[in-house]
Amino acid sequence: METIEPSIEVVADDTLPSALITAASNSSASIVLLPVRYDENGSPQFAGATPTVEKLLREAGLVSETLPAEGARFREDRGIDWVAPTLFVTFAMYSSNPNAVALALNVLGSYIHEFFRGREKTTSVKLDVLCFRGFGLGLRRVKYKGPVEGLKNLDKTVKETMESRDD
Amino acid sequence: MTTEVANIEAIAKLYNEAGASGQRVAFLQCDASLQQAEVENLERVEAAIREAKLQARATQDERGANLLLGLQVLTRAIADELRMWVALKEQRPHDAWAALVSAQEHADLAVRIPDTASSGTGYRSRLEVLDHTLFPVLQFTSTGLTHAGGTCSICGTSFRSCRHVEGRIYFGQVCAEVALQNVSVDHGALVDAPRDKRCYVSEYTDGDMWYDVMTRLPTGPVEPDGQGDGHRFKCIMLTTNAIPGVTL
Repeated sequence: METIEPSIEVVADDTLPSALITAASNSSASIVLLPVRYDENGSPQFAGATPTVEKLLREAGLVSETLPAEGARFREDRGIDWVAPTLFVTFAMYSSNPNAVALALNVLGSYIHEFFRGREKTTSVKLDVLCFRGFGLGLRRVKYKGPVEGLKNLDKTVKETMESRDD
Repeated sequence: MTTEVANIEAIAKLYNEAGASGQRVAFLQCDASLQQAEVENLERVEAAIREAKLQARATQDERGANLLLGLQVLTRAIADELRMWVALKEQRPHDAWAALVSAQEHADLAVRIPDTASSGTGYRSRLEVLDHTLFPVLQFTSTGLTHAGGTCSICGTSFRSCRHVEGRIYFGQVCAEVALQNVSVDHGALVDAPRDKRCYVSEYTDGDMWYDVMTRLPTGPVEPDGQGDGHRFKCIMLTTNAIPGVTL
């Protein structure tokens, strides 16, 4: 199997319901975990790894909140990719705890490395970080797909995106 | 009641002897009845290792329990490889493939346990060679499903709310989310890298006949199904095999 090349892409995002953006941006947590997609009825579907990520962040001392809180359904696409829940970070969260994203990525990277020991090079990780820079500036989605060791480079892109004032 | 302390040294010796004996006949030319006899011996040894693992667990020896899990899954992997050889000789290539995949999964788990990582890595390499040389390149499949959550295999409570982390090994047992609730399958896909390599296209057609993907032999005519033109495949989309290391 070929080694996976990492890719990081930053795109404008308008897929999130405004009510969810409001709820997430009002969270007192350091990081909010969001669904990875919505079904044809608009019901949220979380990554199957969401409960695991919640536990890992808690172990690392990071306060996270998963939204929406009720009626969660978890999605398993049974490929070898490891799909993370979408991380949502506001400028306020980032300012009050600038190391939270880096710590979260480090924790997840260590876990994935351990879980897929021996198969790290052929395991693709998918992780999106939604950066909310304030109403009026629009959401930016930082999309990562690639091997686990590429996750550590994601924090830099999240920082640059969070500090960007481009509309 | 006192619990006997697991004699890990004795168990390791038992594993080494049984493993060496099994691997001595793990070749195409070796007689299938000898291979089957080694499978049965390895099954007995696995049972003994499991008992010792439970003793280690009972005496709160986590490192010992995890080491014994490593030996247990390596024993299983060697037995699975022998089952593969027997199945091949009995003209059961799909069973042989499933046995090889099981061997690979058990070896993968051994790699994750520090005391058996080196053995697991070496054995894993051997199994990779068998994978690529004994079987044709397969087109794998993957199923997309949703569920409402499940139960923790370690503590038996809601997986979402317990402290156990999926994939971690606790006293010789792997944590997994099991007994998923309200499962709904919504699609299938052809993929290069599946989570379960037992899911693959098992038969293909040239329009008139179905062919087995392993033997390339015809399995029967294609019956009209009124579905129009397009590619047709017969696939294994989902299996319910046990995850290695999850049950005690």
